Amino acid sequence: MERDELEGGGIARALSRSSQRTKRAIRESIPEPYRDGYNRVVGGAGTVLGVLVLLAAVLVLLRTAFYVVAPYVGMPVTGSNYTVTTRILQFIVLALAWDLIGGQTGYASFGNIAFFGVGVYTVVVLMKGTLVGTVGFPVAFFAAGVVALVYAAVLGYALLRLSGHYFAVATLGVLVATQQYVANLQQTGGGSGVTLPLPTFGSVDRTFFLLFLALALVTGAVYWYVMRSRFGYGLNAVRDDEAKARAMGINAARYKITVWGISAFLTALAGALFAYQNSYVSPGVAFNVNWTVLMILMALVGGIGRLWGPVVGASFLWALRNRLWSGGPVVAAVGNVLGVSLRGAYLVVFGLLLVGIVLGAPNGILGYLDDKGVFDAVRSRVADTRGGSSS
Amino acid sequence: MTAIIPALAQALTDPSVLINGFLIGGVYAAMAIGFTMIWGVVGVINLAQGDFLMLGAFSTWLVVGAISHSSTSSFGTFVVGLLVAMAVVGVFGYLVQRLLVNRIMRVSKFLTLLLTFGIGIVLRESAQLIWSATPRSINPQVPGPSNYGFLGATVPAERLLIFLVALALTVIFYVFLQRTRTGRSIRAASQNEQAAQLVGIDIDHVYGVTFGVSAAVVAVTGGLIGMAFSFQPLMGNAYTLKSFVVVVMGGLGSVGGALVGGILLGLIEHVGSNVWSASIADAIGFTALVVFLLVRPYGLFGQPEEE
Repeated sequence: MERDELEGGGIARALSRSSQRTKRAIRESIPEPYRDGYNRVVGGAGTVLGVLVLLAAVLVLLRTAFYVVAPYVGMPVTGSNYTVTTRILQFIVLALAWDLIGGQTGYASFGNIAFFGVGVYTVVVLMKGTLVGTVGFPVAFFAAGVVALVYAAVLGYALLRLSGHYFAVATLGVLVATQQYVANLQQTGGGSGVTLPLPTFGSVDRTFFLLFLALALVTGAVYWYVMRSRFGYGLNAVRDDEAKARAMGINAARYKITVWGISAFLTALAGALFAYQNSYVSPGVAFNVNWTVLMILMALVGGIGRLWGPVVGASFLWALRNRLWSGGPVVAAVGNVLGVSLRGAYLVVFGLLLVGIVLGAPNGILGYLDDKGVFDAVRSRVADTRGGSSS
Repeated sequence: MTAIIPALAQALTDPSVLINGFLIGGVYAAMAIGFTMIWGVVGVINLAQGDFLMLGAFSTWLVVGAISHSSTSSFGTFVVGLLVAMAVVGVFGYLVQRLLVNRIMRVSKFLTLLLTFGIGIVLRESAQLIWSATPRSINPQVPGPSNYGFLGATVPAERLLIFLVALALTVIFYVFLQRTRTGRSIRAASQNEQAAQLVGIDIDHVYGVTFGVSAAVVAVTGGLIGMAFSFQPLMGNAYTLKSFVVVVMGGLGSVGGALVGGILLGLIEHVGSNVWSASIADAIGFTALVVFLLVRPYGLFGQPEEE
């Protein structure tokens, strides 16, 4: 329980209660003689599915770790192999940054990708020298974070004074409006996009892989620190009951603006790296609404409000997206049965997944397995083994 | 920067800019009524509302295409198309509330946002798979002249028509809320859920009907927009956003607020498009909203909330 309070926080518990209530309602709607069988089959199937997804995510993370050390043990990795892993690391950053405002603070931001785009275009404007003199990438990189931070603070001052409902839709507006402005400015290269100077360092793929890895680790560390700090407890208090939090002397508006600023800062850094890596960017790529969908879904599938949730979600879903995108015999067969090409259908699948997770397992995979006692079982098994070997 | 002020002055004194903005504002009002009702009565922000609008446009288009014999369809088929769209999307909205939203709306408002967002994605991406991303339009032959002269401005017949239909919808919706039994149940539910249940109102059904009626109205608006402008599967987000701007400007949960907010947004967008460029119309409306929120966070007609 104590651990749960530290890691999950209030919303996880509230969500857990909600999912349990839904499950109870389903269970009670089943006639008595069949209820036991339902519990065994459906409950068991959910757990098996959850564990499989978790294993898939762990494999992706292990591959990342392998890529880090592989060149040093005489196993060079070809450049294209880094691409998928690099993108997963980028999404780990985005999903974790989203979870700071969405999970820890309970303010659903549907426009966080706007800060990604702001990061991208800060790099564009600074490296192309269209507004001020040309600067190198390291300066542009940090400037991107700062610009997004200021942008979030100004917007937050207007939007975060409002309730979560207003905030959620308003962030969608931030995304649409920012994209339109960027597409119509001369300094950004307009709607058709712009080409950046190519990176000057060697082994580009590996360098960007390592840079994104470093950013992901920093983001994880920030997230971990926020969760355990007084500031983080304040955020959770705001999420659980804002009026009470204010009554206890928490400056809710300042807390929310600060955490949104941090979220924007990290998101923009990912955007800055993305811009330099891609060399060519356009408003459609930099402010990709589908990526907003992805980052929220990643946090939700893994489990919002916990460090490993977005990490697991990002690893699993980007791998799944690539599988649906690139096809293969199974995907092609399913597509043939449905009569559509699943190549473009991954967003339909993800939309259904979003609806399904919200209704069925709002705590995400980690929360679901936690509720089922899987982690406790593993932990006690480990403890037993240790105890057995020492005696 | 200096060029903006004369351009602004010119746009503000040009009757055709103002009248066209006003007419589009009427459509925005009709579109936002459903959004404001769902928000005000059920307490849910329906992020799929714009996608309901898109479904309305496609339903109308499909019906018109199926029952007309030549490429230019008659006005009658268009009306039939609108009515079918209204019924189909209305039933769909009811089912979405009863089967999906109703299961979690009392648990967490946060989850309803994610849920309706997900429903919207499924709708728009499915539509794109089925009908492709090509922008289309419905072209019925509107009776009467193709343009009307009005206070020194030229108004296309389609725009006048959609304004009148939108205005009629607004009035019908208002009368429905005020005069019918179902309308009174909806208002009762929005005032006090428990008290409404105590006097025998089936609250789940009322919430479903609110969703359904709202979806039906927004579907008709979609059909109208499909005729006067164009429609495509991914149009929804922009219209959800416009509805939000309208509702916040006019104030939550009132038909009159939606009307005033809608016309205000129509004017702002149209004047802005004339001064700058039509491609940033959405951004202008939203920027106006941010400024507006800073000055009057409780809406045009709302009162400051006691904290």
